[in-house]
Parts: sequence; structure tokens; C-alpha cells
Amino acid sequence: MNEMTNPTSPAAACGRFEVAVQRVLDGDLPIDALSDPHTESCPACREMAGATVALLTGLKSLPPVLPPANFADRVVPAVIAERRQADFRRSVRIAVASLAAAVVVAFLATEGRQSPQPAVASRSPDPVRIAPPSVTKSFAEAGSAVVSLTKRATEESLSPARNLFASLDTVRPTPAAVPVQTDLRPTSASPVEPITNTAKRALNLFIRDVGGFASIPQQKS
Amino acid sequence: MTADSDAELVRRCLLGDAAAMRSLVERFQTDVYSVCVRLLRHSQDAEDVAQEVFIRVFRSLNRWDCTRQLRPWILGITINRCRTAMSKRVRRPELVDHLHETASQQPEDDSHELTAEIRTAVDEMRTDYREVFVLFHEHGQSYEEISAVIDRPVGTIKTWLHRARTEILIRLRRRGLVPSTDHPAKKQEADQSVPVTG
Ligand SMILES: [Zn+2]
Repeated sequence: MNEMTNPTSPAAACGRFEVAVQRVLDGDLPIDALSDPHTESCPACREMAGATVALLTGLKSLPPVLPPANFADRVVPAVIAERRQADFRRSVRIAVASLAAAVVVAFLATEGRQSPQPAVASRSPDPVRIAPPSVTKSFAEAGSAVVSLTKRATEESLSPARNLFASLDTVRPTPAAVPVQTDLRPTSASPVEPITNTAKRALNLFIRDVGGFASIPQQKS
Repeated sequence: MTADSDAELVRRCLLGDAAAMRSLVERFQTDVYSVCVRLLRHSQDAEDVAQEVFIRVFRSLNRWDCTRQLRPWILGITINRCRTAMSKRVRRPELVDHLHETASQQPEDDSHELTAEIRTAVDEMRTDYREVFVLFHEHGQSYEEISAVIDRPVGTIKTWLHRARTEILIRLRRRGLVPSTDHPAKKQEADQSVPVTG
């Protein structure tokens, strides 16, 4: 039996005391648990007990970290702006996707009209005559579908934003300034910087999407 | 008037109620900001990241599981954003600012030396130890909550926290910031008769 496994050995007693220290710091044992008889004979554990008391005292004395007094004033508009940008991006994507789908449908309809009837159909004993699709009509239908889809997506996106702005009037005024516990430097070069960056990203996404759309009609079949 | 429950507040936020959004920010801003300050050790970075956290929170609020607590969920997003911010940081010569311990708020007595030493010890820990130490000792999160927040098993959290504490205890011993009485617990009892700030 070695030092660690022998329950009566000094090393095992130190190990038990170490566990007790952690349990005191966990809040599972009262601080009295540090007054273990073992500390009378073990200077290392006695010092550990002292350090534990110091740590507990110090943790209670740590100054709280409070956000700047106007933090919510800056965050809420930024959050609302970001939501509007995200909704706008979503609308643009839906519109672009719908338009692309409409163009593809119209293109396929045109192709279908120009290609000959399949051989199987011509051998049919009782062929059903289907009027060839009109290109003008296909484009008109596709166009109105795009308009309808775009309008609906935009409405869905914008209505929460309208609610947000309507309810902004009801936002209660900023509470009395809480003393800032930090010595802050100027917060940023510009208060609209995060919004500007978001707008830039949205514009880039838009350009990317539109760029993707613009390349579709150029594809040759 | 009682404050809305977290679930009710979230429901109103999802309907686009700006007043509810403000309430949610105000309810959690101290937790979010102070975790950012403790982990990033830089008040300006902390403020920027805290704002990103709330943008992220509102963006994914519809994915929050209302059977779980909101605070650990938000703290989880906070930890993730802080990690991202730390990983993006270009090596800057002197990043740590201890602005949260300015002269105006330092305790008048000699406990300042103790709190400063603890703060420095925490700042110098490896990131995962610091995360669990801050969440446990400064934000009152349980082992299980921390486990959920940082997505590690409870056993790992315990190990990290115990090591973090041991590092601090050793540091305090080395710096001689240990009560000199034979029985430190008795000294603590005596100290507790004196009001402690914080
Ligand atoms: Zn011992």
C-alpha cells in the first residue's frame, strides 16, 4: 500500500483536504470545514485553507461590471436595423429566385412549342390535341406570378418592421443613468458604424444575387 | 407590476414589440456585457461583442427552446461570440485593459490588493478555465448550466474549475495574501463582522 492509497497516510489526508477545499468553494460545505485537524499538522494545507478564505473574501469584494448607461439605447436600434436588413435581403432573394424561375418556365414553354411532337404521342391511336402554349401568355403569367410573389414576400417582411417603428413611440424613456463602473474610451469611431457595415454587407449580397440572376438569361441551351 | 417571464418576453419580441426587445436587452445586458469584459479583457471590444450578441440573440430567438432557461442560452451565445472575437484578434501588443477596476471604484481598504490579484490571476488563465471560473463564481451558474453553455461534459467543467481555483490559490499563497492566523476559517468569521463591499 503506497502513500496515496493508504487512507491514514499524510498524502491521503492532504487529498481529502483538497476535496474539502473545492467543496467549500462550490458552496457545498460551510467554511468551518476548513478548520480541519489535519491543518494543525500540515503547513501546506493550512496555507491552502488560508488562501481559500482569501479567495472567498476577494470574490465577495470584486467590483461589479456594469454596461454603459446608454447601452440599450444603442443596441435596440441596431437590432431593429439589422432585422430590417435581413428581411430586405430575404425579400430580394425570394424576388430574384421567383423571377429566375419564371424565366426558366417561359423558356421551357417556348422550347416545348418549337420542338416536334414526340414519336410516342404520334403513334397514339387517339391523340389528344393540346393547343401549343403561347409565348406571350406564358410570359404574362410568369410576370404576374413574380409580381404576386414579390409583393407578398415584401409585405411579409415589411409588416413587422412597420410594427417595430410604430411601437418605438411606446418605448419608455431611458432610466436614470447608472454610474458606469468602467473607464470607457470613446465607444467607436462612429455610432452608426455597425449599421453602415450591415448595410454594406446587404448591398454586397444584393449585388451578388442580382449578378447571379443577370447571368441566367445568357445561358445557351 | 411584475416583470414578464422570459417566455412571455420572447413571445412579445417575436411579434416585433420594440418595448419587449428593450426589456430583454435590459434584463440580460449586465450578464452579457460583464462576461464579455471578463473574457475579452477589453471594454471597447466587450461593448462591440455584447451588441453582436444581442443581434445574434434576436436573430435566433425563434429557435430558443422555451422549456429551457433563457439566461444560459444567451450566455452560450455570449461565450461563442467572445471566442470568435478572440480568434479574430490580430496579435495586438497590449490588449488587456483593466478599466473595470478604476481608481474611483477600488475599495478603500487593503482588500483592493486581493481583488486585483484575483482579477489578474483570472485574466492570465487559459480561456476555458477562465470561462468556467467567471460563469461559476461571478455569474452563479451551476456545473450543469455551464456544461450546457459551453457544450462540454460536467466532469470536464469540474476539472477545469478545480484547476482554475487551484491556480489562484497557489498564486495567493505565493503573494502572501493569506490570513496569518492558525485557523483561517476563524479569521473569516471575525472578518464577516465587518461589512464587505460588493
Ligand atoms: Zn495536508
